[in-house]
Amino acid sequence: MASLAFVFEQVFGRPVELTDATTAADVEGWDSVAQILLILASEREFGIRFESSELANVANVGAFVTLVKSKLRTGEQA
Amino acid sequence: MYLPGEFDYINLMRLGAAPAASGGAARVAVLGFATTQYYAAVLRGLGSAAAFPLVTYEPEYDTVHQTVLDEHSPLYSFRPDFVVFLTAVQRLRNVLLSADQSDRGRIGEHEADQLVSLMRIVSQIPSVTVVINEFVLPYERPWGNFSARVDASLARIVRAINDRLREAAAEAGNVYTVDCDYIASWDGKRAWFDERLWFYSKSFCHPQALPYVAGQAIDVFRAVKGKSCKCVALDLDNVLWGGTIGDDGLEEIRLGELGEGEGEAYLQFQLWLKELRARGIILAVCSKNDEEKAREPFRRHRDMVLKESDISCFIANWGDKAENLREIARRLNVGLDSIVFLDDSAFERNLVRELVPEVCVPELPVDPANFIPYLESLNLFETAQFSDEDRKRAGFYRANALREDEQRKFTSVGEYLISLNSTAAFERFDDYHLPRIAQLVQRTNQFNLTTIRHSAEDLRQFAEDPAYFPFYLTLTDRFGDNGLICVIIGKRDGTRLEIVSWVMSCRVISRRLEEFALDQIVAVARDAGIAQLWGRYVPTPKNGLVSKHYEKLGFRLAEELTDGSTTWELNVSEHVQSDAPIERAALQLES
Repeated sequence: MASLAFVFEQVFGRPVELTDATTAADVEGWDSVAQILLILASEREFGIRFESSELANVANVGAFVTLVKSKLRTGEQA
Repeated sequence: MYLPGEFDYINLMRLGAAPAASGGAARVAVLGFATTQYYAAVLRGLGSAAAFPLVTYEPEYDTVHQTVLDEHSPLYSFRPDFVVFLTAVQRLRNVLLSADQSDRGRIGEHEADQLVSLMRIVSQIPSVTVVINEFVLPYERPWGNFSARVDASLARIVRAINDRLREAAAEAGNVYTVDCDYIASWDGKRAWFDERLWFYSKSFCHPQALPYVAGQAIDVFRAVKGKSCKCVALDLDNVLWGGTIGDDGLEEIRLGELGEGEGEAYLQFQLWLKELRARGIILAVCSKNDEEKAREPFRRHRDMVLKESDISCFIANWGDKAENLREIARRLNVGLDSIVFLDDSAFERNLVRELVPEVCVPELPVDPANFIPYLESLNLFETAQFSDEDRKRAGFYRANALREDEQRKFTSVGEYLISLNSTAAFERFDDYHLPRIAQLVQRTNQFNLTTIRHSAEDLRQFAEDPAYFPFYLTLTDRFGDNGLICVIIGKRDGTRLEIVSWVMSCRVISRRLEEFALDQIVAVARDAGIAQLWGRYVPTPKNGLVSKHYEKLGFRLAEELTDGSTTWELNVSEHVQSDAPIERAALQLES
């Protein structure tokens, strides 16, 4: 969660209070552009890659964390 | 462009999200055949980081045609200084792939026609500059390596469209293309293309490439505004050769064959600098050294590419480099903000950044083999024009330095000027000289009375309009040809001649050319039945030099306005012919 907080801070330029239930509607400026930036910044930060089908699937922080974690685990196995 | 500090696309977009102070900001319309938001935000971010503030206008997604063709669209009320067309080869490829192979050439031409016609319409906006992103060559190669030989292949058609765009840009005069395939190939097409982002959000490239591609547009903007680098000031030790000439001596410095791989790298860097000089960038030396020692490699080292004659101003002493750079600017008559300073010492770089912040001071890689790739990545020497004058310019500046030496031998400046045997042409604009005239009008900041940046098209029209009196001057003396160095544009208003623009290159200041020019104008005015000349001085941060220009020429102050500008009058009948030691040259038609 700590590093994801860093990604949010990069994109929004300020620390963002995050819980698993935080959604786009709770964070000022979390629009479609910010959405893509969050994805690209986490790709860079964690060395992972999102699939096309996943780009729209991070409606809240909990889902985002789960997705990132699952990718990190797959990465470890590989 | 060089930006001090670390910037990536994410923090540039954040920077670009903060609104620029609209006063003084350049206005950019971004017309995209793809999503424009990311590009526009990075563009604004780069603008703020580079102290070149920008405000942008972007029409709704995929409405370029409608926006350009509707004369009431917000594009025109926005009054852009710059219009950028963002192309997307991803869109083009689908147009082509859905067509029969035999039809693709024709469809490619049609696409190019459409773009060119949009570009032409937009280029008519008063005093606008248009930038078009060329298409990146697609990565798909259905025929493998053989693709380039097949007429119907995407690569062949995209190349043809790019060629067409470049030709149209060259014809238009106020249109420039950005070589996106070069930008894409720098990091590779794998880094440029991200198909997920094209499908999901119609991004024409991965945003990590945006700082490079948007930076190119700003480089063009700055070049058009005359804010480009004109001079490279070079440190010597560990910049032009490896080692320290003062300590190691001529035999030990690493350069060329004798320096192994490292020596080759310095030699290559000198060749790179020599090429810059050949295209008109002035080279200067700014070194902490004894002058005689510093000059020795230029005179005696067999692998030295740069010779003393390539260096327009050579300063080697133990003084501080900030002061020496000011001296270089003064001697060469160039603005500090048009100098790039290259030094391997972080101490010197930071000192100069602190004390002379106008000078561009890029980092310099530790390994000389990385000098050229790094400096090329900054694209410091973008230009909006290239003429014969550019080829000769560095020579002009060197001749100037020789003239200064000569000047010391005479007791009076007047005596010296007479000894120069100067001749000057004073002629109405002609087609041959128009490119250089446009360049002088665009670039001159100091000796510029009104700083009106007439477009190339305007200048062409003045040449044909009998109401206008558009003249250029060239100056030759016994040291050589100074080229076309002055432009004066008059406009008739009844029996009065308004001097709309008076622009002169700083390399011919203090030659009494102004007086000679006025004599000529008065003669022309008299023949045309004009009774009075009327001139204007509009102050800018850079043209204080000419605040007393008309006063010195004997004009009477007519009016002083609250914005600091002044207007001046001279009755033709009261003008006293000057004794400026310059002969009028007979008209020569150059070929």
